[in-house]
Amino acid sequence: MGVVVIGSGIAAVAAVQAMRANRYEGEVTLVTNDEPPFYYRPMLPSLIDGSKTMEEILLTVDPVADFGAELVKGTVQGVNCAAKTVILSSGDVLGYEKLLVASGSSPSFPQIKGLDAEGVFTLRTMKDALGLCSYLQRTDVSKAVVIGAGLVGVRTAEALRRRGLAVTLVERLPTILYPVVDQVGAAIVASRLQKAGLEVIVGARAEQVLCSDGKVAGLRLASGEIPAEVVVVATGVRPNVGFLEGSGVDCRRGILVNPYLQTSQPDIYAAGDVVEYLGLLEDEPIVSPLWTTAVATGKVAGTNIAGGKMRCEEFLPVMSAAEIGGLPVIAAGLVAMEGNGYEVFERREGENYRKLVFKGDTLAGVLFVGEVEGAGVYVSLLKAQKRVGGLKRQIAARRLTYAQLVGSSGDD
Amino acid sequence: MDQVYVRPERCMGCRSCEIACAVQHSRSKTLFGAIREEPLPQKRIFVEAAEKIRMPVFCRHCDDAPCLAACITGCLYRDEKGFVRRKIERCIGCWSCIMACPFGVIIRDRRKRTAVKCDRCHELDVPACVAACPTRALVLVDVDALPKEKRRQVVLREAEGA
Repeated sequence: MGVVVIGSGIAAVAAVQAMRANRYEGEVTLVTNDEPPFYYRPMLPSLIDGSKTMEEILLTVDPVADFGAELVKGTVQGVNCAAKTVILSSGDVLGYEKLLVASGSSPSFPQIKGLDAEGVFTLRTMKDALGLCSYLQRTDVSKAVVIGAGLVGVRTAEALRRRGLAVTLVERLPTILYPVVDQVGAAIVASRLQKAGLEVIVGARAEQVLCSDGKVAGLRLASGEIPAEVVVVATGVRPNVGFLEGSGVDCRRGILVNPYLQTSQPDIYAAGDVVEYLGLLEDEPIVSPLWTTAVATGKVAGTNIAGGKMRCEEFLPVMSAAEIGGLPVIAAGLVAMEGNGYEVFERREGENYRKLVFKGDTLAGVLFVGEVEGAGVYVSLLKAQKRVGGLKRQIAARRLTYAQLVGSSGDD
Repeated sequence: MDQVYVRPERCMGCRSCEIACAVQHSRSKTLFGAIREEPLPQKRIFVEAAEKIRMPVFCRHCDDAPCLAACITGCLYRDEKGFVRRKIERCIGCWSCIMACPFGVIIRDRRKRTAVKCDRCHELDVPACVAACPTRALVLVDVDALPKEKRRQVVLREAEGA
């Protein structure tokens, strides 16, 4: 009995850590089909360019060794809320007192033909990354296409380029990295990528993966064909909630939860990519497949499972940091939003670009490209939705420092 | 645990803490050696001024450290003394910690493309910034004893007033 956790990603690990920190001493069983179970998922592109080895991106925390959790390898097929059991595809059944669903998300694919050809990859799991690496090693690959220019797509394309391949990045939308950066930011970053030798094609819908002898031969767009021996699909993710169908756990896109991350079944909690929860800046609940969200929700769910009472902070649609084309980028909130009651302050000097989006007296979007130092001060203002009133112009005009916030706190 | 405590009303903005910090994190660990080093050593403490205040701002080694939660590489960790430090060989310069830090005190090493932050001079008894502060605007205090001292001061002030 005890607690069963579905998943072994960072949300699951953060939850186990929080359970133990809150003095839950009962059994904890993690069920996962990920192998190895614990690693830094955002680091997977580092395997492709060889800058890190598999061992180097394994999690530095081990829930089994450090927190006495038990690990069960398997795929969850269903949950029986009445009997309080988790059913695995092997037929095994695990009983629980409390269940945490942290099953993460899976790649979502465009509706095109040829995705079953040999040489089509995604980059979601360590298995995916190692599979791609070994394919690149044993096959004579010189050209790759990456479909989808979100953060994963761009970082994967860069890694493939650093490995020496000719790489084309194909994006359906008119700009890359939407909604992490706006048009101006996207142009700055795209030009860096092009300088690094990447071909970037935007506003182009992938129509078909071309095959020859069952192997990838290229990608067809409306505008023509791109020859390639490898296609990486990076067109976003969707929450893994299929196994909950008919279970009585209410889902929409993700699992619906209250502020304590309890689902419609009081003994079942959810954390990470599978959660659909209030957005800080939106009227509708949103999913937030981000590392920081996974860590935060894992902590909240774990604390509450252990008997605590911790509220989850509202979700942000964007909260990302990366170095792209050698250029640091930090973005949070509604960065690409224009008009409709939003007040925008932009400043650009060469490749240094800063954009602040205000809604009324509060920050709704923060984008820093280039000089990113101090971005966290703005991001924390945004997260707290602190009314900045008189400070707005000052905040927009020059670098906001922590001292300014301390100095102005008496004026509220 | 001892914490570096700031008394902004005492800060003159002399930046002695900044210099001491950079020197402590230089190769030579002397001022004259440090200023000739290439690249120059980086400070991890920042004297900031606003209309009504002047104060050094630096890493608080937060209990619930947002940088630690945001780190996607396993570079940041909490050491045995409770300080948030770097395993520098793990850093890939993704700047997640810069995004997460509400104090804005994590910076970049532009050559190595790694994050740079305060290590609380973990190998020293007294951090370099505290030792260098001429007005004792920076002091090491036992946080558990601090409220007691504050109460004592309030009582003393009240007594004087009466």
